[in-house]
Amino acid sequence: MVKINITDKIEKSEQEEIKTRLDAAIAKINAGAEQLTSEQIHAINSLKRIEIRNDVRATFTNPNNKVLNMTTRLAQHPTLDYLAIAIIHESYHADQIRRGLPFNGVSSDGKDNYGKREMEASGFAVDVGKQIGLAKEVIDTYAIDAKKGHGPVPGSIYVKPLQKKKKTP
Amino acid sequence: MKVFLVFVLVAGLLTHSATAKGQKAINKQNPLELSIIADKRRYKATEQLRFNVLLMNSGKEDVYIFGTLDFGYSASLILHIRDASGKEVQPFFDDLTFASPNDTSAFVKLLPDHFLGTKFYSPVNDLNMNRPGRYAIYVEYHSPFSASDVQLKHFWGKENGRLKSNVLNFEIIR
Repeated sequence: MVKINITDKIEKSEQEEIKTRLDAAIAKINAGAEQLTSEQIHAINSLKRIEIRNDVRATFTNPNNKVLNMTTRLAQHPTLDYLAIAIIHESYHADQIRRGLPFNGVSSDGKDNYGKREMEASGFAVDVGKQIGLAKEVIDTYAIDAKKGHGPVPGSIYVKPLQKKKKTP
Repeated sequence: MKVFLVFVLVAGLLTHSATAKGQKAINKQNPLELSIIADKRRYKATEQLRFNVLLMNSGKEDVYIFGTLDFGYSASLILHIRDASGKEVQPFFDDLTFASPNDTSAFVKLLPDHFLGTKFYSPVNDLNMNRPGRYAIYVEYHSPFSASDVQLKHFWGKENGRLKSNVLNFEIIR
């Protein structure tokens, strides 16, 4: 049971609307819980809290406390399944943080860690989304992200190739 | 003295001409320019940092772009923050792109010399800029969609890579 805090800097009616939508999105995830593995459930439960805010421009999961900070705009997204899959995606970031995976820098295989974590989280969201029966168009959005990521295409003229580290003798 | 002034003037004109030619060549390849603008550069850790992001068509032809400028690896804009030592201070903004490449209403046409912009705002402490000192901020733009997936001519797609903005220096004070 994840706790939800909604900013009181928005109209009371808006707060109520957001609460109803989030409850419905979480209920949708919970309804499909029987289809999930214990590892998947454990990952989803890594999220400590959901804060709905209007003082920050973008949604993020805070690596210091595993709290999902969601913009009011996302919380009011008209398609409930998008809200559900966004919670699943972000909960996987909380799990990555719990496991101490790096988000900065470049991994040993030369890939940017931030991009890698995003692709893993989207892959998780696709698998869970399918298992709990979210809409295909919603899953498809994340499927592209999971497979290709959103990084630059190799060979792009605007992107400098990564510099190989010099070996020290 | 007059000879020196004429020399400076001629040298200046030659340099300007070379720069203009170089600029033209870049613009022909890359019609889009990304910039960030801020009115205020000094903040207390308890304040909300703000700046504007502008994506400008500096080319001579219309360009289609994805119309939503959100912040996240899976969205259009990636925010980078470095502290005074050059270490990246990652804020992990994670907006997602909830649009289909088939939905043409999700895209906008940028005429030459027109721009699409958005404002960024966040409490300083959510940006991991808690310690007083200097920080450098820049933004990268990339399209969340491949040009091959979008049925529009002159679409700026993922294939075009990332555009980097100018760097702004901010100072966090006690």
